[in-house]
Amino acid sequence: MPTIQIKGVSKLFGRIKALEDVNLTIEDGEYLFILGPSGCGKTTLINCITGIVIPTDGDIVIDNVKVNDLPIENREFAMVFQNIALFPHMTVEQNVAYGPFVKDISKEKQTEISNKMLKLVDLLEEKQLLPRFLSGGAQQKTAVARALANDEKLLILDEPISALDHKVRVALRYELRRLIKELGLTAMHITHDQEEAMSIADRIVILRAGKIVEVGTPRELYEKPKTLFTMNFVGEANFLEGRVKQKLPENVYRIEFRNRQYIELTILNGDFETDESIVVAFRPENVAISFEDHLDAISGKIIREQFTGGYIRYEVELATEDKIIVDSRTALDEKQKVFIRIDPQSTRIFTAPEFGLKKVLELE
Amino acid sequence: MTEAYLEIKNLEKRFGKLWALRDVNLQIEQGEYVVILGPTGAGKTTLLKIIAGLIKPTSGEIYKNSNLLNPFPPEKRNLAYLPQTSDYSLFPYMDVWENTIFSPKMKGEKPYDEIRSLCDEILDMVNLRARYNAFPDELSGGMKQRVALARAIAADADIFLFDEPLRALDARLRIKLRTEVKKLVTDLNKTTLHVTHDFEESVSIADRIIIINEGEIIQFDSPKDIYDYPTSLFSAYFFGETNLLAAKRLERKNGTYFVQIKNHVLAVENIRSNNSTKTKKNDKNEVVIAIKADKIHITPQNTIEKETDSYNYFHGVVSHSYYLGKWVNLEVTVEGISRDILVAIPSSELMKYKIGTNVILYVSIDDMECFEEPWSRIRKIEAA
Amino acid sequence: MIPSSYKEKLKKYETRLIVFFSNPTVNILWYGLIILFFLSLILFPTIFVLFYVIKEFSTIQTEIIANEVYRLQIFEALSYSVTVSVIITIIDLIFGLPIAWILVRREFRFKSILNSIIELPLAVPTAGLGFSVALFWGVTPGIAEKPIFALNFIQDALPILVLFHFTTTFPYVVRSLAAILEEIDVTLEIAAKTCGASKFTAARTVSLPLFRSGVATAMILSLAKSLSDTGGVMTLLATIGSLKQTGTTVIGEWKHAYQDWKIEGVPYEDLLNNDLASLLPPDPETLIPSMAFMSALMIFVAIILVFLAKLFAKRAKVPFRKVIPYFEWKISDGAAPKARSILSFGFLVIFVIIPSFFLIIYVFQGIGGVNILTLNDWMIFGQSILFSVFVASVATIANVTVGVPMAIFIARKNNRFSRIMDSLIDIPYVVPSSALGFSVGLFWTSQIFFPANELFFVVMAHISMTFPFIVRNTIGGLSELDTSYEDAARSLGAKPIQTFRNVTLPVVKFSIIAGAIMSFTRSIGETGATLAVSPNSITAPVFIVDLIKNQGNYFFAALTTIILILISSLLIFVLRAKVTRRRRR
Repeated sequence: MPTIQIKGVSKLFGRIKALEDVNLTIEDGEYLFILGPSGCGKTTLINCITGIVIPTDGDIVIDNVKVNDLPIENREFAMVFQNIALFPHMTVEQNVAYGPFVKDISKEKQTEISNKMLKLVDLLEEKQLLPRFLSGGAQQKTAVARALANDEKLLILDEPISALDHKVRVALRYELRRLIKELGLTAMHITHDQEEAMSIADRIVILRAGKIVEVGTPRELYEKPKTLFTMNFVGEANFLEGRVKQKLPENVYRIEFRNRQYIELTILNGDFETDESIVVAFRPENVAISFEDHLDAISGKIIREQFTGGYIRYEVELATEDKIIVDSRTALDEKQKVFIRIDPQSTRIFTAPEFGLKKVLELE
Repeated sequence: MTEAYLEIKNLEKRFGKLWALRDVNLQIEQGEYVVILGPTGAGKTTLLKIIAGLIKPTSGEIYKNSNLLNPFPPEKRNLAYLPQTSDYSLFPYMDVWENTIFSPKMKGEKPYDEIRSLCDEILDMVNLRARYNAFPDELSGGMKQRVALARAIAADADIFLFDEPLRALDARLRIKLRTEVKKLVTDLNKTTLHVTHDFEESVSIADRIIIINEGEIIQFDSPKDIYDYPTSLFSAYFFGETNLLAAKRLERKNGTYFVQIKNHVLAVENIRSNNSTKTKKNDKNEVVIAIKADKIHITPQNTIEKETDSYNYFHGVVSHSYYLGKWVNLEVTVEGISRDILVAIPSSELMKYKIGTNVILYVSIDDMECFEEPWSRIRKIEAA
Repeated sequence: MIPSSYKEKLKKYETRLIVFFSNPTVNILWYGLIILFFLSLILFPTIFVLFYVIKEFSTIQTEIIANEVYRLQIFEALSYSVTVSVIITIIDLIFGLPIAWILVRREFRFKSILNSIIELPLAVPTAGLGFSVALFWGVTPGIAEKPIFALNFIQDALPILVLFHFTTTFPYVVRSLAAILEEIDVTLEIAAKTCGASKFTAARTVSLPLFRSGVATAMILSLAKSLSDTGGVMTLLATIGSLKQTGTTVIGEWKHAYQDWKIEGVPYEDLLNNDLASLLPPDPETLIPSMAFMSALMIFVAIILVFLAKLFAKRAKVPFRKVIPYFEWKISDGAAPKARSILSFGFLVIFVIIPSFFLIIYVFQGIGGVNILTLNDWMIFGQSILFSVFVASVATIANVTVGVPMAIFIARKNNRFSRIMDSLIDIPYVVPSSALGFSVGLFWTSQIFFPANELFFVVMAHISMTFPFIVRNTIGGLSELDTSYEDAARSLGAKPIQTFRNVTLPVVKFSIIAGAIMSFTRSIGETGATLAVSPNSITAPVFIVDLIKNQGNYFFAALTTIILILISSLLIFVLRAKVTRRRRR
């Protein structure tokens, strides 16, 4: 059964460190995502596993076999590509049967396999067509069927749906998860799209500048991220820079923000010292807007509102001069003077970063 | 009624036998931020290029400020078009500064000193003054995007035409930049047309949205109106996450319309007739119901008893659950309905709905959009 | 320092020029003029001979076709040309594919060296190349002191012609195959490998079937080039002392005889008494119809062959039915690929590189021979070089002026007319150069508007011949530049001509210069067309042919070739350096 171990892998291109000491184990039957912004090294990591790139340092171990020097064609995995890479001169059926075909399996068996795979992705009716006559989504489904037809237990997906239309993307990601789980595959999927990763991953690895930032389940990363970067990267968030003014009993802290704004907040994720600089981070949907002042509230005024489907997004300018976003499921009448209350359960407090908040949150 | 700033009348475009655009009529106000939303191949880019003057329409007129634009070549229309390419069509042999001053320099109307101070100001605005002598291939995706904006702003065009301006960026960066783009443009009080295929992008920035499919304008309204009152099956489906269900039409009773899906009888406020010429009138009483995933009320079965005399309740079982951060999408299997119903709930309620939980779904009569369309349209719309 | 008032004036004129050219009427007139120029002065003269043959067919019938001995002569020469070019095309394809493959898809230490040495022979004028190949492979009775390493064993015309044409065409074929292979997405092969295909299987079943257009282009290239070559064939056959003729050399010989008889006043009987007697018709007046007939035949054959090549590339089925995994894995792995690389490399060196430059050894060995050259020799030498450079420069400049707008018309104005132009552009390229030269000469002598000036004819022939290089290269550059740049520029307020100057040209200029370099080197090395237009115009290659064929002065010929190579390479070097220096970063 396939497990992949990545042991201390580094890759240098000239002087540029594309990967730096990456350690990771992918369990059998797991659907793992590698998530990161452009240039974070995720493509290099995949290339090391597939054999397109040979790591400068460290080992890639698949099923307890060290595969560092094996060329692509000798490693055992199936793959789906970002640019789809269907063979343009073959029909959908021939594309899907390509794996069995090059292994010189009998014609009947080839047809049987391709029919089975095409049925899985619901494309039996299109099997005689050339790929260029299919829509983008159907093309990628064909490519998935081609990969699955190889009967490998390990599937690597290299940004398989990033280039498609949004609507198609959403439909396809659920289908991908269904297929992978149904066939009991171990899958490794790379993407820059946090929503895609969150919605279908078992576990997500966040990669930035060649290093692993954090590993966790979607919920862990969204609700209890360990780093500011993750907090910002897996979904929208508000960040308020402040300072611990006073430690009160029962984990309650008095915090000072800009313009001498104070709140009292229960901090559940850590211990902070008086005078320590901190960042208070919370998601737009975890904020309550009220019209009365509280000990844990900051005043502000609504400067913009936009209907965004399931909720209304308010942009609020706080008395601290920070602008934050608040997503509310109900419409507000009063807009001039509001109070923002931060829910301690879903708020994360971080020690202020050494080189400034902006630097830590940078997305590229 | 005020004069529209940009007006398009009876615009049509054919490539050989293929209709790229049909019967397009639009009126856009000065300073509006309008998003054109549609799937690939809907004719979005063609529409933008026709307005820019880069493609000649087969017929129809375009007016800007009541002046007919058709006879003018692109350079005389004073519209800034930003093509859909991964490098934003920044001129590769020019640095940031040369790209920014391109338009005023070509137009040659202003003395160089004036151009220089103007462009310095614009580069400050997009926060790129420090990189003025960098070449496009030395910049990150987001920076390139800002240079392209600076270049368009320097053109001092009346209307911005953005063709998927965020497509080449990472998903998270796209979310961050979309609001920034809008702010920049609306602060300058420019009229903008922004093409995208991403529902979330459209809804978070648009004043009004044009939904376009197969060369036809399906609906042109504010985001809220399109969301709450879709006028056609396509705009109901394409705008947000929507369940499409095949149903049969029943007799009308007491001013309420009724439809049936297997053993469920549902009440709907209205059945929109199909006035599209393309599909044949169906006499099989086939209708399609569209329900937005976040407008379905869900409760665990043990909390309330079903009110037998009301309609639009379903009993079901949670079969899948997908965590999206802010939301959780639940798939609920309902007996008699062939496909699972997608229900969006805030993720704070996640713990109540584990897989296998028996639930009751309720949809208010106002949120049941019903369209007189043959069932075959469902597969057709979803396959596109 | 330019005075600022002058600068301002210049700017004013520039603005006026921009306004002038932006006028739609001027625009249409301008393109009309370009197309007219192409059709009437470049395309039509190259195929004028076909009309002449139809007009004079009764004469041709009675004088040539009716004469059995003479007719056989003509057909023998023609069939020789065809045989050689077909063999060459097949060989080029068989050996070109793997080498192109290695160049594009494989990484190895000598790759960049291989990449640049493969281009080297392109700088050698074929007249000199013919001599060089003959020196290396052939038995050379006229040369007393044979260079060391000379193989000195081939005596027959056919094998050495094949070897020679292989040397001239192979670099072109490999380069064009490699360029097209580069465009086939590598991920397709990677995808095939992840499906369990070996390297060989992936290449055979995925990339090769997608390669049809490349195969067609390469075949046409080697057909056209091997049918065309005149100077090289002349020096090659003269050096091994063979009297064989090909279609193109026959035209050259006839033209020469005609010139001697008509202009120089040499009695025709004298001409009939030398080696070539059997080639010449009994009546000197038949010479012109003979040349016309032969040219028409050559053009006809060339077009048929090109058509067949296209058909072959379109229809040929690549063996795809079955995979033999064991065998294909075997040749994909381990020692096999390495052996293949080394083999290809060695092959290239022995059959292309060494023969191309073999005459350098010869010149070094006989360097003392410089002393016997007289001042007069050097005078003629200098004149011929200057003349060549002059003709090539004029032709190149004229072609850039007309060819670039033509390319824009074809690549950017997407209408029916531009598509027709697109298919007509390549005709001068496919027409064998002697036939082209003769046709151009015939056209210009039979018109009444221009005085008969042979220099002018030669230039026009060179313009026709090299026109496709500029246009094709520029179209290539234009199609790589996404039109969205131009769209953006236009909508930002740039007029079409400003868009071209500021946006398109900076990108396309490299392609234009590459085209100009090709056009210039082709023109400088050309023999057949020049001979067929006017044998008295002594360009450098004509001078080399004359030295070898008529004077037996092999040493001087080799020396001239080397100097010509140096001039071409110097020019290429300067142009390239200038371009890359301007290219920032």
